[in-house]
Amino acid sequence: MTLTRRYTLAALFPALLLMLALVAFPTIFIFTLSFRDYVLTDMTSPRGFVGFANYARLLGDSRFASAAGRTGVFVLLSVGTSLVAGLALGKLLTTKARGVGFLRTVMIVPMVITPLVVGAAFRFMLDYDLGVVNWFLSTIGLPKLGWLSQATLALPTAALVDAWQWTPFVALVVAAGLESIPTDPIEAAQVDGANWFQELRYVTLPLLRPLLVVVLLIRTMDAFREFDKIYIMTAGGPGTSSETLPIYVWRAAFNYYNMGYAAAAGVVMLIGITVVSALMVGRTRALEVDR
Amino acid sequence: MSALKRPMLTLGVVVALVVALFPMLYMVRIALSAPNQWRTPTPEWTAPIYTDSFASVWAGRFPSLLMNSGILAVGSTLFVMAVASLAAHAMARHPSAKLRKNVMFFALSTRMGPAVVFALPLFLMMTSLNLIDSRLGMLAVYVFYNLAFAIWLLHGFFSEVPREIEEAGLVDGLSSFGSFWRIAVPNALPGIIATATLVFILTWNEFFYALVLTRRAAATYPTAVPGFFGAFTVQWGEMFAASTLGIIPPLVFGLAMRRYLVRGLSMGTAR
Repeated sequence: MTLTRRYTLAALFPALLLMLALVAFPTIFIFTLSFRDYVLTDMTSPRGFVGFANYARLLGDSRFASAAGRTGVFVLLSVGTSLVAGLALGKLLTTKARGVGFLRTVMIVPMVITPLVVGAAFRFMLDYDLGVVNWFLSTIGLPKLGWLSQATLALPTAALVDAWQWTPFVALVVAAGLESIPTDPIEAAQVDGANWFQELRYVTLPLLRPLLVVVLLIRTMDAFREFDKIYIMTAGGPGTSSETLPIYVWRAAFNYYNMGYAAAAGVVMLIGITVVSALMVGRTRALEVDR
Repeated sequence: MSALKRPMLTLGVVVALVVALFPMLYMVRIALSAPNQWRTPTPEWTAPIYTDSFASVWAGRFPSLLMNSGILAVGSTLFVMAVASLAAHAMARHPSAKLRKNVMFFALSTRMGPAVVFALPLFLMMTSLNLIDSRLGMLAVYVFYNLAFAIWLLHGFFSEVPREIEEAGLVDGLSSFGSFWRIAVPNALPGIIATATLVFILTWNEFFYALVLTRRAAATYPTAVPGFFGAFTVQWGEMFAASTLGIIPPLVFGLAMRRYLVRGLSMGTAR
C-alpha cells in the first residue's frame, strides 16, 4: 500500500508552485534581461531587445576578463588551502590526542558565524597599523605587511580568510569519512612498510574519493560566489585588485544600474560554474539521490 | 616513535584551537573594551571591561534590525519546513525515480547559484510589485533561498525511515496525511530539526539580498555592520559589539545541533 495519488499531488503542489514562481521565473527573467538595453537610472532608455550587444560589450571589457581571472585565483587558493589543511586537520580529529573532543566542538564556530562578521574581524586583525597580525610580525622581527591595503596581497589574503572559515567543514567531513572507511587496507599498508605519503596517496585518498569530490564541489561553488567577506574587507580594492566576478556584477547592477549588462555577466557566471561543476560531478555518483 | 608523536599531536590540537577561536575571542574582547583603548595593536587582554559599546549599539536602531533578522529567519524556517517536508516525504515515497533526480538540479541551482545573479531579477520584480524593503518581500526571497535545499535534505532523511512502518500504518487504516504526520515525521524528527536549524542559520547570516533589497524597514542585522565603517574612521568597538550580538543565535543553534550540521552542509553526503 502506498500514499494515494491525490495526496501525493496535493503534498507536492505548494512546493512545485513556489519553485515555479520563485526559481524558474527569475531564471528565465535573467536570460531575457541579458538581451535587453536596461539601464535603471536612464529614463530615456527604451529598454528594448538588443540581441547580443551586452555579450559583445562583455567580451571586449578587460575589467570583466580580469575579474574572471581573479575569481579563478580566489577559488584555487581558497579551495586548495582548505582542502590541504582540512585533510590534515581531519586526520588529527580521528586521533586520540588530548583535547580532540573539544576541538571537534570548536570546529563548528567558524562555520556558523555570519561570513560578513568574519570579514570584519579579519579586516581589523589584518589592519596595517592596528592589526594584531602585524603586531605579531614586528614582535618577532619581521616587517609589517599591507595584507588588505597592498594590491598584490589583497586577493590572496581574502582567499585565505575564506579558507579559514571553511577548513573546519572539510576537516569534519574528512573525519567522518575516515571513521567510516575500513581500517584493514590502511593497516595492511603500514605492515607493508608504506610511508605516510604512500599511505595517503594510494590508500586513504582513493577510499575518501567520493566524499572529497562532493566537498570539492561544494567548496568550489561557495568560493566562486563569495561576496560578503570580500565586500567588507576590501570591496574589491585597492583599485580593482580584489574585484572578483560577484563584486563586478554587483557593481554593474547596483552602482551603475546597468541591469542588462550585469545580467549578461551573470549568465556567463552561471554557465561557467555549471560547466565547472558538471566536470567535477561527471565521474562521481555521490550526489545522486538514489545512492 | 609514539613517544615523539604524542606531544606533536597535542601541539597540533592547541594550534588548531587557537587559530579557530582567536579571531572571535579577539572580536568580543574589543567589543568589551573602552573606546580608544584598542588604538594600539598590542593585545591587552587584562584591560578593564567596558560595556559602553554594547550600550551604545543597544540604544540605537540595532535592536529593530535584530528583530527583523529574527522574524525573517523564524518565519521563513517555519514556512519552508511546512512546504518542504510535505513535498520531500511525498517524493521519498513516490515510485518514480525521475521525479527525484530532477530535484537535484533545483537544489544545486538555488543553494549554489551566485546570489548576485538571482538578485537582478528579484530586484526588478520586487520593485515593480512594490516589495522592496518589506518584510513580506524578504520572506519570499528567503523561501526562494532555502526551499529547494530543504527539500533535498529532507528527502534524504525521509528516505531513511523504513517504508514498512508506513505501509503497516496505511494497512491499519491511517490516511495518507496521517501516515506522514504520525509515522514519518516522528521517525525523521532529528533530521527535520537539523534541516530547520540549517535553514535558520543560513537565513540569519544572509547578507547580499538584504544589502540590495532592503533599506530600513526590513533591514536585517548584517546590513548594520558596513555602516560602522566611516570614510575616515571606523567605530570598531560598536561594530564588534553589534557583531557579537548578531552571532549569538547561529552559534547557539549551531553548537546545539553540531552532530547534524556537517551532514546538512555537505548536502547529506557525510554522516
